[in-house]
Amino acid sequence: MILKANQIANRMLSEDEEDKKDPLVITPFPNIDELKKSGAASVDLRLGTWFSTLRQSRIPVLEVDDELANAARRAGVTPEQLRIIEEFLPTSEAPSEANLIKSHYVSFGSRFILHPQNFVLGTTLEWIRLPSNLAGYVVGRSSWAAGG
Amino acid sequence: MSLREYSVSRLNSVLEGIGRLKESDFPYPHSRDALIRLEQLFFSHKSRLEGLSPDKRPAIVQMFCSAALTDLFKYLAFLGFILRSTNVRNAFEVYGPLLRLSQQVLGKDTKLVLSSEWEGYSPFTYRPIAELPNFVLIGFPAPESSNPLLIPLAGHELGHTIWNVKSFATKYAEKVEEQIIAEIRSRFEEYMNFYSAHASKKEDIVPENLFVKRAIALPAEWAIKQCEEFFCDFVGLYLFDVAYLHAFAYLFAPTAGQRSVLYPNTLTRVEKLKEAAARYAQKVAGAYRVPEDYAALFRNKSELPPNEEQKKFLLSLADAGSNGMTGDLMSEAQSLLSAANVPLLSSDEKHRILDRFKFVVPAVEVKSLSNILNAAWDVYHDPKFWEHLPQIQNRQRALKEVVLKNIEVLEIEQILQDAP
Repeated sequence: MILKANQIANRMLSEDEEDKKDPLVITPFPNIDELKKSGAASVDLRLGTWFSTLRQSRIPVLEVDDELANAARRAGVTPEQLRIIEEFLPTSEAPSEANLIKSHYVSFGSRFILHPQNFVLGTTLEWIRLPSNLAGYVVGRSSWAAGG
Repeated sequence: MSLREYSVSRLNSVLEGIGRLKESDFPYPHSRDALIRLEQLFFSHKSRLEGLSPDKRPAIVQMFCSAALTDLFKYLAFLGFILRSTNVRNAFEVYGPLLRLSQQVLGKDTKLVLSSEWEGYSPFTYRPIAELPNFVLIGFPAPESSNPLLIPLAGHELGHTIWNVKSFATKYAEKVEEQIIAEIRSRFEEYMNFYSAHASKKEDIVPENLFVKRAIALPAEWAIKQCEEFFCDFVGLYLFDVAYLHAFAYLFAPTAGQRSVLYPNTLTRVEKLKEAAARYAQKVAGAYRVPEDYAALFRNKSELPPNEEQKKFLLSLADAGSNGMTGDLMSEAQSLLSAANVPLLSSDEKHRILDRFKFVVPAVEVKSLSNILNAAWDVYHDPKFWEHLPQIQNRQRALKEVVLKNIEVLEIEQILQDAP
């Protein structure tokens, strides 16, 4: 069952002892009145201060499985070409997070500019704790996606 | 090549470097402000040199070149400090709350640069920089610069700026001298072993005696520096309560290296911190409770080698001079910070935060950095705190994350509160 916004709000404010032992928490607290009135089945989250971008120069290919052929296909090269690339830029050891990712801090009120075709991971401003009987997922706002 | 050409070329290089540094991702404007002020300084050197007429006397050219070179030596390391204030290893979340605290104590126009270095394993600050009045400059050791539990040590570094702004060295110089004179009188024979020509009887040991004055110049200078360190400890303790003690122990216990004459020895510092905590606790119920086994964590740094007998004697005079001042320094820190109305630890608030931390979530409306950091240290010291959450495999990392987020929430709330 998907919870409506007012159910989410009620769950956050719940005084029920069982709910208090395993609470739903969103911090900073969203505006409860607005949340209840929204009529949505979601909570709007805001972008936080930390962003991650992929370092483009450290690794030739980002392999998510051991299949060389798959990795080569994703990289748009033949397996043989990939072997040659790896010979010069060995990636036998799994790259660390620091090797893959560059972190960016953006203070409150400042901007992070996302250019077309770029990929970025951003933290949410809100810290969320889900109780054991709820699950959630994060999706982009469709109105922004429609805007390109 | 002429001296002037060398100098202008050097200045051009540093100005180019500053130009590149200005393009860094500054998380806060004050680092960039500091950079721009130094850029102006080097620009002024450059235009002064370029404006010299060719027939200017060589001595004057030399003087201008030397002044420019002196500033290059003086500020180069500081430019690196500014650059490293942009490094993402730093705990940027603490910047806003620390700036507010600094402004509360030193005035609204106070600016803050928070950075980190690999050079030493100790938080540090810079001596006053004429080009950067109103700046508080705080550096953390790089490996710990993302650790919010060590933020209380920034209170000590803030203390150095307060000490300089309020000219406490001048204020306490005479009293320190009096303490040293009194110490010499009480150890007259020992003094005479080193300085037999200075006096024939105890009563000759007076500040007006030029021999004595000269002999105590060095210990008096050391004692004033030691007083500064004591004062800064008391500032850190007053602001952050026992979180300061824990952070101090985390970084400095048991001890390392040889003692510097400019610092009180470790066990004396710890003893004086305990005294200050007892004094401050009288005004705030339930606060400043020093753990019973706290002093046992520390050892003294090794003293001066035995062959430096005279220096050891002078250092003992300095120690006596500074130890005699600690009561005044505790009061000074307390009255100054209470007048600034800085927020102190609230035991109720700390427990409310701990209730939230049990669920690994930040608390709202926590009122002060001290409340968060003291709660954080309680969690740190309680291995069973998250026993009910076996999914937390790295307790310290989880604690660090939730503490940083709580500090960010505090900052958001304060920004909203300040908004018109």
